[in-house]
Amino acid sequence: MNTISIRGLVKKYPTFELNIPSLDIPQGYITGFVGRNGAGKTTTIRLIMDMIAPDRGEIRIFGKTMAQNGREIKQDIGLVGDVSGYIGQCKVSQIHDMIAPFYHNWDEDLYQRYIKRFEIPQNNKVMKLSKGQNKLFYLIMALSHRPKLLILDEPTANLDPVARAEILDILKERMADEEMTILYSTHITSDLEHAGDYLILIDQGQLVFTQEKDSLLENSCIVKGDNSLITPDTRGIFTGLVQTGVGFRGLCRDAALARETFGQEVVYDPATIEDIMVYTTRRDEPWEN
Amino acid sequence: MGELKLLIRKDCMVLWATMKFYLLFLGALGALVSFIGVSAGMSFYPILLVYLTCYGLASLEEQSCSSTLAFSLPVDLSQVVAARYLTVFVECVAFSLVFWVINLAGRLVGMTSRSIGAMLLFYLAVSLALVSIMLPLIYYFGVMRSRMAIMAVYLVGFLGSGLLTGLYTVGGTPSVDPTATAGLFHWGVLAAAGVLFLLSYRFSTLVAYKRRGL
Amino acid sequence: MVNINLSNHSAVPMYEQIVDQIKGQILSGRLAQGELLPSIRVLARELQVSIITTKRAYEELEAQGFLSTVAGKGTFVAVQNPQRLMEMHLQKIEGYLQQAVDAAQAAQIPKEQLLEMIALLYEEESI
Repeated sequence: MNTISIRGLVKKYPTFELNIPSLDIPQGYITGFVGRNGAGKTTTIRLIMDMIAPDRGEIRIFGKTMAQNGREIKQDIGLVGDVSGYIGQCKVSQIHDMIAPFYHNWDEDLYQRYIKRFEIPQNNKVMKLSKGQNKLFYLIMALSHRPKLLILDEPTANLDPVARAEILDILKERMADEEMTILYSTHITSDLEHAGDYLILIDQGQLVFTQEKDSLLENSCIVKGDNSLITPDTRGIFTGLVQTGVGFRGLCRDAALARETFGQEVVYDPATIEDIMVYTTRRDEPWEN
Repeated sequence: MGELKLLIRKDCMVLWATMKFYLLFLGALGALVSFIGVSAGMSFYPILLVYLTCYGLASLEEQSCSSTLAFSLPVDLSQVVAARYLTVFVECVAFSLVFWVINLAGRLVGMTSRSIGAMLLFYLAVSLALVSIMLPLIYYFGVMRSRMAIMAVYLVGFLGSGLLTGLYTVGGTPSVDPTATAGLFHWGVLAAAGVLFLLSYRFSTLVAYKRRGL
Repeated sequence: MVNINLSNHSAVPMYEQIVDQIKGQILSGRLAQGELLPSIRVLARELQVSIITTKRAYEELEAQGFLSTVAGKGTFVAVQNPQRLMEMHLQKIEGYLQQAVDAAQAAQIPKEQLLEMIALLYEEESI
């Protein structure tokens, strides 16, 4: 069962086109959505949330469309976008009072527990909160109505390491407790290194791949060696290859194949999600010998 | 339906949280001025209040990027627009009533209660007409870009109401003394303003859905 | 209580490491029959791997008869023919040892040296 199902999605802008023929976000897992700035992550999320209308295509959430069942669907969605939209001059408690009643499944105990645990000052105006507290509050509000789908768009951007760790902790706790689906869009790939289940890479409005994160990382490696080893045959095994004056380094998505090809003549390093993103999407000049 | 109430409650809570001192100050100023007896010239006060709360609320929301919130709450866009119009309508009525009450005290300075009643209808009509024009502009252009247009509309409203007030001063009487037809005239103008308000609501809903595509 | 330590950079896939370690602890008796194991989600969080990995590990262990899941209650160490499972394990070890012995004989390495090597490896494992 897929929480989100996208088919034939097209959205055109003057300088950019988003084109996703097919995309499924599976239920109960954390799907990482990575890509450069401007790759189309936020546009995709806006389309999912019905904030903008597509030129073509259909998006189904919990099997239904926003046009027919928008209100119902949104009862079970928590969104943490880059801005909360909370009026800055209002107090934290006032925002809570305004928003909580909208949700049938609001869990006040959960809300209070998190507010106390992270010491969010309820009587402060929202604009007086630090960046970290602001994001935490936004996340707590999104989680307190027990959504089945949580959509996060750059949740840890601009946060200090401590705030970032707190956000990731809350997410891991909630995933351990309930079968929530999380769509986690970010370019801070280290967030997903230990927490993602699936990984989607998007670049220039197109999907590059959708894979299970653990098997992707287990099968990928960075190969480093002498330029003489790069021939038209060997070049083909690399997804991204960088050649410099002192040697080459490249990403190979099939570590076994790399070992077969190069044996002991090269260095093998494990690849991180960041490596995969960078090597797959960078646009380099070809190297002239 | 419950969502509509919650949305209106939200708008009112934001208004109260952010603007109460400003509103009270202006209310006190208007009261003071009315007591001195310049009620005819100060007819723009409820208009000013409505302008501030209607425009001010939209402006606050735009600063805070509240559209994200509007789209993530479990509500339809049509409910969001309807709630805003209802809130604004309630504001128009409330402020007009407040000034009507204040102006009743102006009987001390020699106005008749009939003319004060006419002023109430007048305040309400002009308030409704003004917001009917402002709101669709805000929905279409956003607050920042419609500032100039809003300024122009306000100016027209001010000048227009001044002109209308001037027209009332037939025969040199400084206060309004409506005849039966003038009474009908006032109710007629209010009804027209009401119709304009409803049309504006329909139009804004359409615009909000269309703008969403961008 | 189950104890699992994963190596991120081993040639062995992570789900397999989990399978091996849980299996080993069941057979050695460290995990008691009927003992409750962490849910796949909690395990994923504690090991910092994806839920798919822990799910696959548990499914594999269930298929091999080491674990059983009761809907609504959790995953338990199966009380299913522990003798047979130990036999299977011993058979596998015998297979490995046979390979080692064959290799040693081919290189004319004496039995004592091979036994020494085994002893050393045991010591390394417990570090």
